[in-house]
Amino acid sequence: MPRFIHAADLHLDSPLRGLARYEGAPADMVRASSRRALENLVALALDRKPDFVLMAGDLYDGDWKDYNTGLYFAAQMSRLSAAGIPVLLIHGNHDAASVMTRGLRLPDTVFTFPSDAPFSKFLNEFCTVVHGQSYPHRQVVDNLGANYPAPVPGAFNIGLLHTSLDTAASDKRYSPCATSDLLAKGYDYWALGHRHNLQVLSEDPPILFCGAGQGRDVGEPGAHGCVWVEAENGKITREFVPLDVLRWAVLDVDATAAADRAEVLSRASAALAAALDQSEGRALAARFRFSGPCPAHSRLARDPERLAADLRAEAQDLSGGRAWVEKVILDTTPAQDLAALAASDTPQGDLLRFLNELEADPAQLAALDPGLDELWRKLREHRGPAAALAQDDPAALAALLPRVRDLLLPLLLEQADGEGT
Amino acid sequence: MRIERLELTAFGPFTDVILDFSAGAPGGLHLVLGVNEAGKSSALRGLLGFLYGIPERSADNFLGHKELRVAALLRTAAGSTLAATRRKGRKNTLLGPDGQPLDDNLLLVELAGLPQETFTNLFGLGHAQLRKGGEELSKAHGDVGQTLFAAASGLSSLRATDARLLAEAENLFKPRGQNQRINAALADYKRLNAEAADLAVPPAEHERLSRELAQAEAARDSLAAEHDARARDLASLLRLRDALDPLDRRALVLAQLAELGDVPLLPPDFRERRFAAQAGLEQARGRMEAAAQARDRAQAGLDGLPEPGPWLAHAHRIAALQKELGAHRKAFEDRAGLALDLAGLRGKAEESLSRLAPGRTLDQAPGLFLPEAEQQRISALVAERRSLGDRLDRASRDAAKLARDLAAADAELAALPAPPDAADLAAALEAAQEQGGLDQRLDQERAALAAARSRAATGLSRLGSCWTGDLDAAVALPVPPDEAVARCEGEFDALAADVRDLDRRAAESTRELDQARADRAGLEASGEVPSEAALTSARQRRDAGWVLVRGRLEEHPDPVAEAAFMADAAPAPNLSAAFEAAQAASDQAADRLRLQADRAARAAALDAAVLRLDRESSDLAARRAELDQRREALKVEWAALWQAAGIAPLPPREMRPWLANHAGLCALVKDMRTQAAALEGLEATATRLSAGLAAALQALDEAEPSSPGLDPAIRVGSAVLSRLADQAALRRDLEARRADLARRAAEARDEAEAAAQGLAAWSGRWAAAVAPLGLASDAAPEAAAALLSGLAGLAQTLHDMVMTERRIAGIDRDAALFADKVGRLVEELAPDMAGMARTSPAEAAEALADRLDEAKERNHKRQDLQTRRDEARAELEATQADARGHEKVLAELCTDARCPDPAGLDPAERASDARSGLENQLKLLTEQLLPLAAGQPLDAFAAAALARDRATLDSDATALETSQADLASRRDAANQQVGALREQLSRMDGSARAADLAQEARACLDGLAPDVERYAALRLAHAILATQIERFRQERQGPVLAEASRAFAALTLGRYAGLDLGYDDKDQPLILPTRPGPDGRPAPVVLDALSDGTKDQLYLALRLAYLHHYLEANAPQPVILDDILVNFDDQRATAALAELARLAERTQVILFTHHRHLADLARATLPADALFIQQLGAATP
Repeated sequence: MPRFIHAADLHLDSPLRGLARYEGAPADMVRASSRRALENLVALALDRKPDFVLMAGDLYDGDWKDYNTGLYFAAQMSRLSAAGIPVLLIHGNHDAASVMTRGLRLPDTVFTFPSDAPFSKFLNEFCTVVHGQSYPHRQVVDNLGANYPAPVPGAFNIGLLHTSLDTAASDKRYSPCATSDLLAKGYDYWALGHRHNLQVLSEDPPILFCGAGQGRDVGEPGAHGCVWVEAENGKITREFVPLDVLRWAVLDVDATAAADRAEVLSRASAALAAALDQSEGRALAARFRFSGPCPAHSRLARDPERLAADLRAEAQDLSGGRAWVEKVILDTTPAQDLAALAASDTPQGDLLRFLNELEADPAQLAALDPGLDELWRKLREHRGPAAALAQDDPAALAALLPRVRDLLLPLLLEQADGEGT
Repeated sequence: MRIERLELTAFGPFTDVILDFSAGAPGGLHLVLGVNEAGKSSALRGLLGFLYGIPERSADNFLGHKELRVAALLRTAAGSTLAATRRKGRKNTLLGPDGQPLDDNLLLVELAGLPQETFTNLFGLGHAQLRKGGEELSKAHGDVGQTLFAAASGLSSLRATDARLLAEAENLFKPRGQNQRINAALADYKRLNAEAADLAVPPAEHERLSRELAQAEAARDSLAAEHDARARDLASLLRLRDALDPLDRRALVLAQLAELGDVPLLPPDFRERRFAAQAGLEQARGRMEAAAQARDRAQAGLDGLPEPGPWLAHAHRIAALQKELGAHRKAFEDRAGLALDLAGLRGKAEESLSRLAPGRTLDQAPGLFLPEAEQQRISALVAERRSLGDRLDRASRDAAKLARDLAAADAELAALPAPPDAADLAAALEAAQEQGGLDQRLDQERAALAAARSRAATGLSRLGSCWTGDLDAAVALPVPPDEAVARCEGEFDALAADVRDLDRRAAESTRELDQARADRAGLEASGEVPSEAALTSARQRRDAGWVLVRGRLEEHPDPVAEAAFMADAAPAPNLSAAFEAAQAASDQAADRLRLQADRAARAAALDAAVLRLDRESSDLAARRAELDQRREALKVEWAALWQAAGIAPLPPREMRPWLANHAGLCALVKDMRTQAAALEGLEATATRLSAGLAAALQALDEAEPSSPGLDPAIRVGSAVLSRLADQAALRRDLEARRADLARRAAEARDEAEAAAQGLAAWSGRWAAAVAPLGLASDAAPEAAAALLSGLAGLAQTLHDMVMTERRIAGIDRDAALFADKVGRLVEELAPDMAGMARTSPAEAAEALADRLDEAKERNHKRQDLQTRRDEARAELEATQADARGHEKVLAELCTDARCPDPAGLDPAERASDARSGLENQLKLLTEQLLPLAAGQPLDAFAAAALARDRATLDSDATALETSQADLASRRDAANQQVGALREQLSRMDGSARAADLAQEARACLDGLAPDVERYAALRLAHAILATQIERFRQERQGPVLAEASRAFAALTLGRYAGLDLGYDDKDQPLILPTRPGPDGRPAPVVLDALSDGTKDQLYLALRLAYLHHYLEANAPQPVILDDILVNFDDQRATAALAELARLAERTQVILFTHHRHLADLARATLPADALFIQQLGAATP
């Protein structure tokens, strides 16, 4: 009965998203984090000596064309090869199309499943059969697992599959299937790849996504790593082993009734301290989301960069330089009752009502000319994600209106001495 | 909403300060004169604090009030009143008159839900804001939208806010900028992407390089092989060439060796060994001779010395005697001293014995000594006797003293009187004290009642304006209910307002009528006004003339009519002239009517206006009469309300304070009655308690208090009770002391008895103990002790005597032994000293020692000579052996050199040297040639070399060298290519540099996103603000500007005619102040040209204009102004006060100022019923 590692979705050299640089950010700690995760995986294997390692697809991104990434992967595989640990891998939607997968010379101990048909790899030494199939191309809308062969009697049968499971979005369907399909196969273990967080679909037999080696943005919070599996006398034990070097976290901070910046910072600091405790000494990328009505709102909204700078300084002090302030979202509201002001027959009320009208009437909003065309044009000169920042549709403009209100608030709530509250 | 009253209960510098704003409803201009600025602004803050809550960090508690409090009475928009108190705190800060929390929303509704900031911006104006508003006007350069919006909203940061939005946006992005954050980040992003692409290795590139490397390596290997073969050929050729010379020399050496023949080849150290052997032999022979001589000299010396004898054999015995000698002499000296000591001790013992036991000898003395245990028992009994005696003495003394003390205490107790029972007094006193401070409370209550009566009297006198009577009658007065009074007052006010309105309109109408009439008259005055009527009448006259003329022509004249016609037409000589005149007049009238149609129309319009105004005047007069009637009816109704009370009422406004006084009086009387009842109860209690106390004191035969009242009774009672308590305590103490004394006296007696019994027991034991000493049973312990001590001294002396005798005997024994030892030695070794030994063993011992030393000296010399002789013999034997060794070596060398004797050794050595030299040369040559032969046997190689043609060898070598160099350079080039390809491939090392750059590019983009969003929001905010300002302008410009124009003219005393609209070069509407021009038409001036003061007035005009506009559609709010007129000269201040009074017709206007002359100005120029002045913190002036 085998002992093995189930890993997937390493996405080597794929950049982390959302980490704008700033002075004092722990950039060195998170450099090449996807590679560090793979190195942690190799170190785990060299330490515990599994019978083999499974990789369930998406080693690298298809649109990444630096052969160095492949060479690096090959070097890591050579370390496992030298220790006599075989690796069995399939290609998923991301690395199916990668030109790298064709030319790369990997050690003989690395076995890549073919993409034209399901294949069963016999590992007689461990009384184990691994069934798998690589993606022939990026978009695989057929259920590849359906064609996997029946289990080999007497052996430990493992299904290695890259799948999006059932998903509604048609452009996100990759080898779609249901948990019941997988259960029906009668395998002893399904090693799945594609979803980036650990997700156990069935306990007996185990059917699970082990998650990515490293979370790539704030949408992938918590620990990431691989799963260590031991099968002994028909009993299967699992252990999740973290490989990541950076943790992502969204910190919701209730700023209700906070009087000033210092109080808001102190609450944020408490939330950050808790998150740091949970990150097990790794780098932490934290997104702060402030909410609630508070007297401090107007001043915070007037200078969001100062708040961000304060939070960064606080994070650096508190974490000893291992926390990265990913983003600061200010969803707080003013303490004053703006509804009554908006209902009043005053110039201030007129301005608030106008903002409300614009929110309700995209046509009127579109008729305003805020003079953004030059910026949109400049952004569209770039391809890819930079061009995507050029959002000149009315819905995107309407989404800005709360920010606009924040910008005009100091004026609306100006004190008689000419200063905003 | 309006403020009726503001009470600064505890706020800032104020305690219980009341400001009354009730007059002048619905509006009213209120001037509040502040003593100083701090007090004024505190009052303002107090007002805002009441409306919106007192800020948590308020600095207005420098007087240390328990709690900041401001109260107010408001008149709500619905007409009801709202009284509340605001306290500083976090919640429940608004309290009703009953002290219960009120909902803050009650106030917020009255404030139209406006936040404090908006309320103060709209309805508040201070001097600083006025200045700032003026400055902002200037900065807006007359922009209508901005100016109107800023003035209407009271926001002074409008322009600055907009500018800040644009400035921040510009810092983020400019279409053609480079350093703005978005521009710079985009440039970075582009650069990083390009660098990442540069560093990335396309997989195809790696394949191509690998292929090229394999090809280059194959080409290089082939070239290298060819080059190596060529090198081998060349090397072989060069070896042959290099071997030719050594081969020649080798042949020569071989020939010389053959010639030398078979000579022995001697070892290299041969000559050295020969020299060493020959020199060693010479040396050995010299040393043999010297050794023989030394041996002979030593033997001769020995022969001359005698034998030492038996002395040395007995040396240890002589030495032992020497050691004993010192002790022997010392003992001899000690013995004399000891004999003396012995005699002294004996004398002392005999003297003691004769004292202690006369008649006994020393030998019998030991019989006197007691055993140790017996002695100790006697000592213990002596000590016990002393202790028992002490105990008995002490106990007897104590018993006597305690008996005395006890008697004294009994006497003292008997002298104390018996304690009286004070329970009643204590109870009465406790009851009185429970009512603590009753007298003081009585005084306070009496004073309060007196004060209330005095206030009631004052209140009663205040009712005197329309009613007189006593308090009870006043309370019983059936005054009309509040609602009825309020209704009547409202109706009176409404009527008064209507009358004011009618009067104003009537005055206006009369003014307009007068104007119309005057205009009409003026029109007439400037020449007759042609009219249709005049034309018609001229035409009728012409036509009448024509009838007369036609009558003449048709010959039926009418002379009477003709005369009248002619007379009518001024003096006309005849009918024709009269007709012509009428004809001309008719034409003239027609012409004038045609030519002066305008004047005619104006005259007609004026005539019509006069008619209309006339009608209007009479209408107004009728309505005025109607109002008068209604007022009369209302007066009757008002009087009827008061009839029940028998009061002829003054007008409602004056009856209101009367009613308030009356209500106050009623409340006061009610309170007074309650107070009186309470006072009565208190007095009864005081009397009851005083009586109780007095009775209790009497029962104790104590004096009663000298002065009346409860407090003196309590004081006396307390003093008596305290004194009685002291007496009781004294008695208790004394009794306790006596009991203690009695107990201690008994204890002392017991102790004395116990000690006496102990003494009796001791006497028996004592008699038994001292009997062995021969003492009587009643012997004193001191005598027994002395006897024991004497016996102990005697025993010690006897012991010392025995010890001294023993030591003397020992010394004598040792001296005899010593003499015996000396005698025996003298007999054995020196019989000549026998006499001396007998007489003085010590001297004999010393002489023996001297003789032993002499024998030792002789023996030493003998031993030295023997050693020297033996050494010389050994040396001689050794040198002989040495010489034999050298001779043997020389014989061996001769054998090796094949010569009969040592003389032949030298020639043999030289022949051997020659052979060795040649063989060495041969060896060197062979070593040189062997590598060149490269493994071939040397002779075969030599044969092959000598076979070559020496002449072509060099040219062959040169050709081979050239070819080889060519191959080498081609191989190196191939190597370089391989190196370059490997270098390129080695750079593809799996590095993460491209990935790192891609990550940096991504980070750059992630940093860009919030900036883009911020920029868009900033631009959008600017656009929205600008659009809203324009909307505001379009909606409100007309009415607000018209009113502002009027007010501006009024505020500048006509120096400016008003405000007009113009356009700038971008067609943006501008506000243009106008001045009266020379032609009477207003001439615009640019706003920037106004002086600072005039700008302030323009700003004030705009603010007031918007407030008028606001009040048309919204409930009134109090307008609160803070010293806005400080910089106005008196004339403009007067004008401004008039404008404020105008606004005060619509809503309450409160002006705080610390300039008393403003009050004077206002009093001088404003009607008394429109202006209300009060002093802050003082009675209303």
